[in-house]
Amino acid sequence: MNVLEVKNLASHFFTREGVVKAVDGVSFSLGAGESLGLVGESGCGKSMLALSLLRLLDSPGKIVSGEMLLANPAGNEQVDLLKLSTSAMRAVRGRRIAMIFQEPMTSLNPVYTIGDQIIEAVSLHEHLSKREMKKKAIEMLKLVGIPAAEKRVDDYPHQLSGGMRQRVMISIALSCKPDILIADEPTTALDVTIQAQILELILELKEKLGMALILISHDLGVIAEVAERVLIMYAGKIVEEGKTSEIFDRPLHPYTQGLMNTLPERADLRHKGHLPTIPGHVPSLIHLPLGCSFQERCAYVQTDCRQQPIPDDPCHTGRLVRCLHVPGI
Amino acid sequence: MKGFSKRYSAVIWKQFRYHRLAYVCWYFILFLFCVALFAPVLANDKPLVWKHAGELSFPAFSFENKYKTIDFKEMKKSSEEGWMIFPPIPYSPTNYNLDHILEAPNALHLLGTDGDGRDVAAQLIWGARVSLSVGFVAVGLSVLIGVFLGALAGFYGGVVDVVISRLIEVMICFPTFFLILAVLAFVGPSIFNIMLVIGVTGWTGIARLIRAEIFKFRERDFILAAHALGASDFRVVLRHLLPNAFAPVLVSASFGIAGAILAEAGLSFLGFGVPPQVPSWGSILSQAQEYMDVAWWLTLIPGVAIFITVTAYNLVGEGLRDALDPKLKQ
Repeated sequence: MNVLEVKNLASHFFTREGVVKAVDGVSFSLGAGESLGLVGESGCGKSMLALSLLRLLDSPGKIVSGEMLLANPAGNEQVDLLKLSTSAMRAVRGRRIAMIFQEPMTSLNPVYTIGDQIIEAVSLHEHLSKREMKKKAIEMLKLVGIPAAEKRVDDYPHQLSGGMRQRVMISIALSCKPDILIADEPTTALDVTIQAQILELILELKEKLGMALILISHDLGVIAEVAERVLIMYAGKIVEEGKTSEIFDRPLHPYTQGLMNTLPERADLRHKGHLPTIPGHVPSLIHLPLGCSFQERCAYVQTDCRQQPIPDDPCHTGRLVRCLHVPGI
Repeated sequence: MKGFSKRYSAVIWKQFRYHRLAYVCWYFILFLFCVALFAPVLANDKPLVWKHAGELSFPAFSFENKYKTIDFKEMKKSSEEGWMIFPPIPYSPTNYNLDHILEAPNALHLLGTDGDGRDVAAQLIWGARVSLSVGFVAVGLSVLIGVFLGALAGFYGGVVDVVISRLIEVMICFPTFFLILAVLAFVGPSIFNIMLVIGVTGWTGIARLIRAEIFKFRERDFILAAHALGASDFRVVLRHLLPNAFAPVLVSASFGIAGAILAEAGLSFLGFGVPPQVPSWGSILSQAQEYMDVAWWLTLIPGVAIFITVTAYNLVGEGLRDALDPKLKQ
């Protein structure tokens, strides 16, 4: 069963220079307990998609169309998050869908102890006595592997290292046992050695609590390790979707292929001595070209790529590959 | 990592203590508060303890009417039985003693007497109540209005911000002291009105500070994180934005208290302040106008009291500003 189905979601930013189509008709589904990877370059709309799921886009951003169907835990019916009142949406945030942010250094409020911040998250959705909440806070800190949790619970964020803070962020996000956890580049700001620990922790807790996970990253290594299924995002659109093994073993979209070639372990360094890149830049999301958004950077581009929007799977590959001329087919 | 559980306020306090002068002034202000609080015990014409007809009583602590008509000093001279202990300054600020007009400081009247024979030391002690309460209540009111409007403008931005910002600019255009004078001319002078008027005219600086601080903090990740946990706008402002934005307001408020004390003294000096029978530092000064050439103590003593108090608040404000300035942290 799917906990979340997103259909044709579009989020636009109405700026003075024009309409920025940060999320442009994205559809995907998320199974219960599944871990889904969302990959793309900086500025392709990954974080905006994540914020759209929580309806937290700040003006001038706005969700202009689509449906976000969240499964109701009680019955089989689904609720469309876009049709909820603001107070009903607040009840969803944190309780049903929680989020971890990229920067652990700035995601904690500097004037409260970490215990108070966990307690706040809990108190927004549950009513417990003060003593129970404190107990719960300590329990959560233990769960994310913070040593001496009884003492640490009264620490302020500035007393903790980056890795510890990210653990605290995770414990806050998980304190209400959400059905879906969105992790927006949770390890980007951390040390490489800490990265692996945090990823392991997220995976372990996902299994323990039975959550679905949406992991956003531009780090393909992280995605390969954690995700069961991968969405490749480019210029506000999903260009390829498939099981992680399929995507990594047999990338079909030219953009995905380009991404895979940039992996240092796959690159052939003997010839040129430097890492391969995808030429060019992500196009301006204000003036997207007609047709395929990757046309300017694609080696296989043909005239029809520039003429009409590309359907989900024009080459009948059996999975979503938004490309008219999949190389090799 | 240094020690556990080092609260933010503890860090500020430690920084504050480095500013020696401010630290001393902080204790001076605490001392002034004690003086104001214990004024009835420090300067009173009723004895603290009275042994009479085999009974102990405490007239200075009592509000009973029976003590109001007794002249304890006459009684002490005439009666042999019983005893009484007077406060350090055995006069009330409202004791008119026409036999002792305009006496220079002497053993009986440590700081002299005024034109109506009232003891200046007693007035000074009781006047601290007016000065401090005017300062605190007026600034408290300013902070309340300023924080509310500033938070509204900073958090919602857009039209709300434009309206509030223009309102602030209009308020700033008025010369505050004359505005206060004009308003007091309508509503009549009383301590309550003075507090109200100083408070209602003094909020603009605080509103601007809070607005700017909230603009700064509302884009921070932890605010987004609070929203993502399902916190309401109200909760985000109250629990997450204001505690972070409040530090500079403390600095501004301590300067504001100094300003309010000065404003009250100025108003009382001009005769628009507290009614003449209420002792205040400003009203002693206003009396002094008449006797400037014969009674130096009437000008000097309340003047020095105002000067020291205002300076103390300003120094505390400066110390706070330095303590809160992250650039100065060692």
